[in-house]
Amino acid sequence: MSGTSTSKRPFVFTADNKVLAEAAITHYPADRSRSAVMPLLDIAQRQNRGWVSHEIVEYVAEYLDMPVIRVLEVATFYSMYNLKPVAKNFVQICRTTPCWLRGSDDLVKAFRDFAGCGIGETSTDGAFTMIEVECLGACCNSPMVQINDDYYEDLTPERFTKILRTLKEGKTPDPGPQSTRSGSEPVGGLTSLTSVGGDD
Amino acid sequence: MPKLTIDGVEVDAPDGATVLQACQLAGKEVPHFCFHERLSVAGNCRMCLVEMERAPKPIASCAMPAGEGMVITTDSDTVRQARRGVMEFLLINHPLDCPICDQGGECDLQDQAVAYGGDRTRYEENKRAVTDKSMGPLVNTVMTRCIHCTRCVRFTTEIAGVSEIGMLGRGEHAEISSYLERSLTSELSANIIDLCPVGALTSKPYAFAARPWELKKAESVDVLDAVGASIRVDARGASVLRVVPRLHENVNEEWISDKTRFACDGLRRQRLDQPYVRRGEKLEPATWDEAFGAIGERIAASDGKRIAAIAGDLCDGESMLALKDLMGKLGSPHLDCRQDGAKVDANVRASYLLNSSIAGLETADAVLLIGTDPRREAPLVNLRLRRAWLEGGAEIGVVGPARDLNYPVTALGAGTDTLTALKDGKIAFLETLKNAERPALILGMGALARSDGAAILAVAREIADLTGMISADWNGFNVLHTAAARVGGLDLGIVPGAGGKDVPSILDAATNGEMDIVYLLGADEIDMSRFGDAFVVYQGHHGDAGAHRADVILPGAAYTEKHGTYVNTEGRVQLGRPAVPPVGEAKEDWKILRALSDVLGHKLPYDTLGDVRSAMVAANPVFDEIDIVSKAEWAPFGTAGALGEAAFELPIDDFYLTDPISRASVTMAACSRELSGGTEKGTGTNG
Amino acid sequence: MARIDQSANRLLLRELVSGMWLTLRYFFRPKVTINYPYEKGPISPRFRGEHALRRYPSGEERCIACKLCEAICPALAITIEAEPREDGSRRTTRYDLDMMKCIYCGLCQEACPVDAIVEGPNFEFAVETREELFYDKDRLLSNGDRWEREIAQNIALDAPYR
Repeated sequence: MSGTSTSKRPFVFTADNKVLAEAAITHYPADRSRSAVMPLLDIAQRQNRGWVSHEIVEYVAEYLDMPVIRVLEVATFYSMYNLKPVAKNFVQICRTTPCWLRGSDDLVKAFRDFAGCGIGETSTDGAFTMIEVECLGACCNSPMVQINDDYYEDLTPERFTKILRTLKEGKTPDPGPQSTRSGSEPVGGLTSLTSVGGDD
Repeated sequence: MPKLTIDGVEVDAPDGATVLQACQLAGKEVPHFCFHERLSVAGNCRMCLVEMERAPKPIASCAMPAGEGMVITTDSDTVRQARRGVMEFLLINHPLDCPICDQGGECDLQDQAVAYGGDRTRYEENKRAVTDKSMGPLVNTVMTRCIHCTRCVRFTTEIAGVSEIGMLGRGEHAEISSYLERSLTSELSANIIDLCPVGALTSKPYAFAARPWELKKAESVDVLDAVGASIRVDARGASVLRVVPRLHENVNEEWISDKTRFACDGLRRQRLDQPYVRRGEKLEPATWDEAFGAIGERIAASDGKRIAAIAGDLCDGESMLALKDLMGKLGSPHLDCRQDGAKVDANVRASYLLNSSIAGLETADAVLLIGTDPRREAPLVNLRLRRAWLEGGAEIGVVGPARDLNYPVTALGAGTDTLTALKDGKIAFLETLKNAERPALILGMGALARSDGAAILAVAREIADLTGMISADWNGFNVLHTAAARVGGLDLGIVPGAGGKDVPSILDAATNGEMDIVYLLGADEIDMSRFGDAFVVYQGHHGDAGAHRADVILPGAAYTEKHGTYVNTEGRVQLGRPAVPPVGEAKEDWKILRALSDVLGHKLPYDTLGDVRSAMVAANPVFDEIDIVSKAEWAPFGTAGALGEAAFELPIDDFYLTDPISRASVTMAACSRELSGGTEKGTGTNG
Repeated sequence: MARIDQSANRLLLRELVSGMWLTLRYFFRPKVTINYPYEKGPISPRFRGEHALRRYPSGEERCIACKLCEAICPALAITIEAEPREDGSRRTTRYDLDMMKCIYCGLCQEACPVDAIVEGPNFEFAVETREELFYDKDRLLSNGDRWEREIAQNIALDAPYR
């Protein structure tokens, strides 16, 4: 791993993103503007369809007047920056213990059946990339995946396939628990705090 | 001054010291890898664990500031066990390929594994392997050996001033790399080889050449620039294999430039190993007697006034004194050691020294660079200037071409008009200098080595006086030389005598046929086509420009082959010592001149090195004070005069090829090609 | 009485007979001498004879120029020079062994991390001139090629005791 891939296209922020970047920089003291490297990389990654290329690293370095290698260090340190191109639907599946116990292996299988590729791969139609991630902190709704910015929880292979199918059609399914419950309340209904402002 | 108790011994640690430094003060050795006293603290190797009273677990002593009343134990069972644990972790992914590793025998990890390593591993999984990174023509990388101490990252960022190496990835996937594996562009890059505590970064030209235990070591000084860095020359048999730095706080600390380190392979190529005499068009091998005879014949047929001598940039003081005495006996006043025609004034020592001293430059708070590029001319001086900017916030202004010096500078202008404007207060930087507590200026050869050099020297002096650079405890007037022999030559008075000619005049005279004989003592940086019909004697060690033009060649010794006295740009007299004998029939240079003087019937009055050195002390008492910088008297110098129009030109274009030794070096040629976009162009067949 | 015994012994040639008896007994015992050079005695797997540089089964030379043998040699009989080979690996360009300096102590093979330099079972390398005993790398490698089977067997036999 010696860095990122090259996209062979020059990179510049769009006007909108430039506004965002400038706003991010104002969050830090004037002589510490380099601290904005992480938000800027994130903005650039979103603009560049989900991944950080060499061009972005160099652009951000120049934007913040810092050595390129320091930006690359940040980009390679954090796993949320993708250093290789990813598909439009970037599926991050949690396979840490709670999700694994609740059947994340079945989700991987369902994904493979639907998209034809496994962990760390991009489907041949270019619609999905899946990677494995460590705990995303939604254990009470396990198993779960994160697709782009949204969590899809309480999954079964069937529910997951349905989400994937919807995504493939170009629509965005409702994020959150896919079961009947709302949030992470008990499956069988509330057992305490059943009324608001009540006596119990 | 916090007071600590270390293993029952009370120590007063200096303010800001770490526990590790306090332990070292108490004479306790604490093993460490990532800690280096000249670099920032990283605290990531965990090898320096010690026990502290009332701390629940061992502390990393390199990252813990020494505090009042701390009670530290450095050799309890807990500490030893903790260190053993750390060592076991370090060795898990280390390939243990010591037999094929160039660091073997001088490896920190190897040494400390003897003390804290186990004799077998408990780790049975596959070791991690890392692809090697390209870091240019000097540094060889075997990244699987890396223990991620990040010394190299910190050195390049903090000391060398080029943020080019970083640690990519994290955890088990962490790797040291330069951005896109580009070559390092620092002139000090190879110091990371010494810093690397394991064999991850090793010397490429020295790869597999020798083991440390088979090398003969000689402590010497460097002559490839005017800094005079302390070096150790490591040789095996008759060949110099490598040059490494020696600690000298006031000169080079523990760094040396890449040229100093790697030009040594030039000592094995293009050498003059026997006398030559030109017969017809060809230089033919001859004996010493024949060569001396040929010179004697011509000198007998000539007159002292028609003989000139030029001393080169790598000459030792001994040979220059012998040359001066010989020329004196022959009745010739035409003698000069300033090949580039620098108009420095040999009468006032303060006018040609780096008066602030190299270490002193660190404390300057405003610096004016005039016609100099310290990064290429003296990387170790540049390092001090960078530190003055980094730690003292010094403002640095440049008159002349402004190159990237690794710190921000204010470009003031290109040439003499800027200098005059500055003197007249038309440029705001003058106020900066005036307001500074310790202002300094550095006058380079780019400003002095021109026909109006003496006038520029006078203007620079005026600026120094004007801005209060001279006070009882500070002298901010500095001349940065590029030649190791220059200050020594000026101290010995290797300048034209009464009615004598300097280098440009000698060349003019030779072109016009007014010079019969020119004696070049290692002088290669002059236009050889201008000697006309003069009989040229070249005494030196490399077949460079001078030897090609010569009519008689006398093979001398290079700096690694002789006892020599050199004076660096701050006026520090230092001794070089031989590591290997001269090649072939070559001899130490002062001995050649002594032998020649006998043939010419003007026997020089010294037979031993001791005699020559006494004669040097008699010529100038500074040679009696080895490794001491004495304050030079501030006296009037410089000649006010008309300033030329031309902009300053920097003396060094290609850092890697500046003298006969580096020009003969394959490594330096490779560096020049790769890093300076050098003069050696590809043939066109290699794409 | 003693005088009579002595006389009887002399008369009966007793000493001569006992001597001849011993000879006669050895005459029928198995022989201890061997018909060298047509026959040879057994040697230990640890026998330290003529040196050899071994190769891996792939034909790659084992020596990696670590210079440990050179460093440990008490007689200073080994001289090594090394440089990176074309493929970047660490190899010797020169491996000289002065067999007349060598004291056959076996420290070189003890020091070798890759079992490259070994003292083989051959002890019959007497030569007519001194020069022939300055072994170079080619000679040592060819020794290795010639004796590889025996050397490998000896190392295998000795392995349990290491």
